[in-house]
Formats: sequence, C-alpha cells, structure tokens
Amino acid sequence: MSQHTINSKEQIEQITLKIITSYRHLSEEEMDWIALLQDIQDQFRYLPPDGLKLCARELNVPLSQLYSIATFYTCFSLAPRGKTEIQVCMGTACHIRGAEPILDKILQQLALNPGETSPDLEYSLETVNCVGACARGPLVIINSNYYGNLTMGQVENLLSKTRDINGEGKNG
Amino acid sequence: MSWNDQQLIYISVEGKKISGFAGENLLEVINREGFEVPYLCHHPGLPAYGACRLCTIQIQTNGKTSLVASCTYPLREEELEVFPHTEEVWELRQMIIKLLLAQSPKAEIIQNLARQYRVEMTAQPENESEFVAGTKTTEALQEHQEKCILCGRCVRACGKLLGNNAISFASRGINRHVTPPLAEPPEACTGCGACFHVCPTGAIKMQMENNSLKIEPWQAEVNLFTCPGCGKQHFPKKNIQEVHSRINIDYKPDHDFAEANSLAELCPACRRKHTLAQGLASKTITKGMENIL
Ligand code: SF4
Ligand code: FES
Ligand code: FES
Repeated sequence: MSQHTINSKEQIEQITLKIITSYRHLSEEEMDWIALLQDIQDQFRYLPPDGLKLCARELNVPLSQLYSIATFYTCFSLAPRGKTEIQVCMGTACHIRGAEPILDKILQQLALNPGETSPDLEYSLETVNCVGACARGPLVIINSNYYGNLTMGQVENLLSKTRDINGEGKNG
Repeated sequence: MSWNDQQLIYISVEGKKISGFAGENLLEVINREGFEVPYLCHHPGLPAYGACRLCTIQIQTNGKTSLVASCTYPLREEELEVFPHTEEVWELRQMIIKLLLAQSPKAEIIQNLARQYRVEMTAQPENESEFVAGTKTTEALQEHQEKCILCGRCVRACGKLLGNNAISFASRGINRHVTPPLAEPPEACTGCGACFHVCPTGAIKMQMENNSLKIEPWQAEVNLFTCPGCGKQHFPKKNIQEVHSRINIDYKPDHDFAEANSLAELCPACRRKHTLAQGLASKTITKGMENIL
C-alpha cells in the first residue's frame, strides 16, 4: 500500500526501518541497493531524504552511494510525487504519431512542466522515451494504466476521468 | 612482494627500449621516460579510472595495432611497441579536448591543452545555467560547473582513498555532477582537503575563514583546531580526530600542552620547536644542527 499523505520524520523512519529489516541479513555481495530503494519508493512514492539517511546509518553504507543510485535512475524521485502520476511517451514512434501536441495539451491543462509535481500533490508529470507499446502510440500512462491511440479530444477528458477513477485501480 | 623482486618488463616506445615493473600502468612508465602523454583523470595516488581518454596512445602487440587508454593498461609480459604521439592519436586527443573545452571553458588546464593541441572553442550550449536540474545554482556552484570535467579524482580521493565518501557523482547524462549527498553540507567531510588537492581544474575551492575551513562547492565547513602551543588555528578538528581514531590513540581534546601524548595537535611550527627542545634536552640534537629543523 502506498502512502498518500506526507509523513512525519518519525513515521518515515518507522516505516523505512521495517523495510530495512528484510535486508539486514544480506552480505555485502548479496546486497541489492536498488531493490531496497525500490521498496522504499513503493511505500512513499518517493525516496524521503530522512529514509535514505536512516538506511545509510542502519546498513552502514555511505549516504553518498545511495544518493548516487537514487539520482541515476529516473524511476526514483527525491521529492514527493503527486497522487496521479502522468507519463507522456515522447519516444520516436509516439513522436511521429503526434505526441507533441498531446503533451502540449496536458501541459496546458495541468499548468506543469515535465518533471514537476503540482503544489497540492495531485499530479506529477513526466515524459518518457518509449515504453515498448509503439503500436498504440501516441500514448499516455496514468498511474500505470496505458491509454493508447489517443486523439486530442480524448486527452481533454482523460484527466477529469482519471480524477474520478483515481485510487480504484482500474485498468484502462 | 618487495620492490626489488618485482618483475621487470621491457617495451619499446618509438623505437626506444624502456622498462617498468609488471603491473605498473603504461602511462606512468612512458611518462617517466619523458614522452609527455597528457592525462586528466589519472592521479598516481589514486586507483585507475579511465574516464577522460586523453592518455590514449597507439600500441602494437601480436601484430595488431590498436588505440588504448594508457592509464588503465597494465604492463605485462608481451611484445609491446608503443607510439604515444601518432597522427591518429593526435586527432583523437584534439576531439577530446574540443569536447572538454565546450564543457569546461573556464578550466585553465583545458585552455592550455587547447592551445597546445591547436583546438578552438566551439559554440557553447545555450542553457548552461539549467545544467544541474532541480538544484539551486549558487555562485560557487556555477563557477564549479564551468570548470569541472567530471574526472572523478575528487570522488576517488574522498571515497576509495580515505573512505570518507563525503561526495559522489549524482544524476547522469548531461546532468551528471559531483555533489555531497542530497546537495546538503556533507556530514562525512573531515576537511582533509584531498579533493581540493587532486582536482586538476581548480573546480574546488578551499578557504580558511575565521575559525573554520570551507570547501566549496560542497558547502563543507569544519572547525579548526587551536594549536596548544601558540594558539594559532591550524588543522581541521574532525580530521585530527579521524587520524587519532584510525591510529588508535586515545583522543583527549582537553589535555594540556605539557602532557601531550601526541604531537598531532601542534601546528607545524610549534611541532618543530617542540622536537628541537626535546632533542636538545636529550642531546640527540647538538647546537648548530637546529637550523636544519
Ligand atoms: S571537481 Fe575537479 S577532481 Fe572532481 S570531478 Fe570535477 S574536475 Fe575532477
Ligand atoms: S515510442 Fe511510445 S511506446 Fe514506443
Ligand atoms: S588519464 Fe587515462 S583515461 Fe584519463
């Protein structure tokens, strides 16, 4: 289950500590830092700095190493992400099939730039490069649901629709 | 294995026979003989890295010719002919320098290389200030970014050499940069200054200010130790504590000068005076020898 509110430092540390527990027994060679960070990101939908610091202390790893990993992979975020995560595919196929105007439309509607999260933590917007569903381009992914073969008209309704179904985990 | 039973290897560089020890890196061996192969990311005190490729040379072994980065090429038993400055090598270095110059136009060492290799400045990227996305750009950061070539010497010195790991690489692609974790003042920094000393481009600044030592752009600030002898500020406290704990000396920050069980807290000048006084007292140093110290 992922948290939909910003947690206090205590809460973050408590939850992170639980995740850390399942990694403690691993030897240095077995340790999978990416998996650990993924578990934390799944929990909070971002990597809270306090959580990272706790990992560094508890698992005796330099914080700088965790920070390197956390900033290398785009799937990790160090700032809270919105409840609705929107990814617009800008890969070659989607680009040719008209991703550009679709992105523009979404930018307008949300008043966000790619990589930003709305101040009320409702939306995060991101562009991605090909998600392997080129035949269905242009394509937008909203909270892991794929919306393919989009027309400009559909984009218009998409966001209000997701607002309604958000949290119910329906597949589009 | 001691120094003198290391195996000697002979190679030929531009027809000249030279030797080095097995396992030594080619760059150091040929530069020792004065061939002046340029390098940036390599540092004799640090593990090999092979990031900048400036040390590329042409080699011929087993009848095959190839270009290799000499700093990561260990000397081993083989017929090896080296050509450090062929036309092909020269062109490759020109390209590397051209890219470095575009990336770090303010670095003096790059400007000098550009002059030496007759490389001219190309157009600059427009959005330099947006370089590191998501971090606020201070003046110190800006200056750093215009000089840093991402050679990783500072990161290796801090991590691999000293084990402090106060800084590391972050992000990737055009956003790759060196930073303390979370872009916050680094807790792990002891103020040793190793990063400052190994940086080839002057992208790191170290300054004494009031009672502390500042290292930018890491926002590192550590307190300085007051010399128990003369009261002058000298080494960073954390650094002295670190040294003490590593060599297992009980650290007593408040013991007085007279009963110092270690000289580490004295500033270099007082330390010399102290050694001299002791030496004269115990007659291991005679009058007249004192000006040697
Ligand atoms: S700060 Fe200096 S030593 Fe560190 S990566 Fe940049 S150029 Fe290299
Ligand atoms: S380009 Fe969009 S899914 Fe491949
Ligand atoms: S000095 Fe050899 S690759 Fe940089």
